[in-house]
Amino acid sequence: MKDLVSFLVKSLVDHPEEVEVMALEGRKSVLVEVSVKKDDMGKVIGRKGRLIKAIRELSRAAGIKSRKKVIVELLPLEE
Amino acid sequence: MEEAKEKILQKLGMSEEEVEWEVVEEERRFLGLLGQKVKVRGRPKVGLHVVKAKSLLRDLLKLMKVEASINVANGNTIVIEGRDAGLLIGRRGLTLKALEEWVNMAISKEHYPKRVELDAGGYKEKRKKKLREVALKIARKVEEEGKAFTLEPMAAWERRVIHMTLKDHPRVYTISVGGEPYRRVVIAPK
Repeated sequence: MKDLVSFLVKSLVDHPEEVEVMALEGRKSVLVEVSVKKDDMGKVIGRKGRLIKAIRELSRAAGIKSRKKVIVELLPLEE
Repeated sequence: MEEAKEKILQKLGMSEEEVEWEVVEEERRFLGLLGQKVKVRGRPKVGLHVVKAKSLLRDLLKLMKVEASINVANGNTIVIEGRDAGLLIGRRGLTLKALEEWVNMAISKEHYPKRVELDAGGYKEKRKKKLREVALKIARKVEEEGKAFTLEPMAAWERRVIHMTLKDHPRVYTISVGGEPYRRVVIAPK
């Protein structure tokens, strides 16, 4: 799940080398925290939140196979 | 020759029939005793934005552990088929919409200005057929009753199907009202 979210986000940002992904895997859910450069936040969120919504939807669909709920959080990278 | 083709296909991430071939130069070495050297040129039959989208989708489906094949149907449409295609459609096509949204933004970031359209498991094809039926049925009802009818909220491409189906209708016209994501088509008598 970590690799998936990382791929989805890196394909959208200007600084893919500065994307950090952390995942916490439980028995019934996965929490994925993605940090990107401040200037890249908008690229991942998209107009009216369309892209972050799409990323969450695709992660949710991927979680169905392993019967896990997927939570994706987006944060600005700490400078 | 086959070896050269294979190399090109790998680089493009495409299948044989998606590429147009041309032998650029043929050179026999020592009357063909040392074999032949052939230079082939492969040109994708589809736009480069479609090639890029396809390669992104292939990588994504692998990460999602989804078993499905990805093919270019015509022009800008990429069709996903296979055992897991249903997983990519989602409730009312929501997952498919997300996939389309993401892949189009990812290719536009690579400076391809054109968009691709996606279908999975024949979902859009079936939905289009259904929408055309609904449009004609409601048009008949509007004609009989002489009263406008508001359809349920639909995605932009779905509304377009309704508009296109009735654009030449002699006695009704269509118009969209409301804001996304609740925008609806109204069918009204002329």
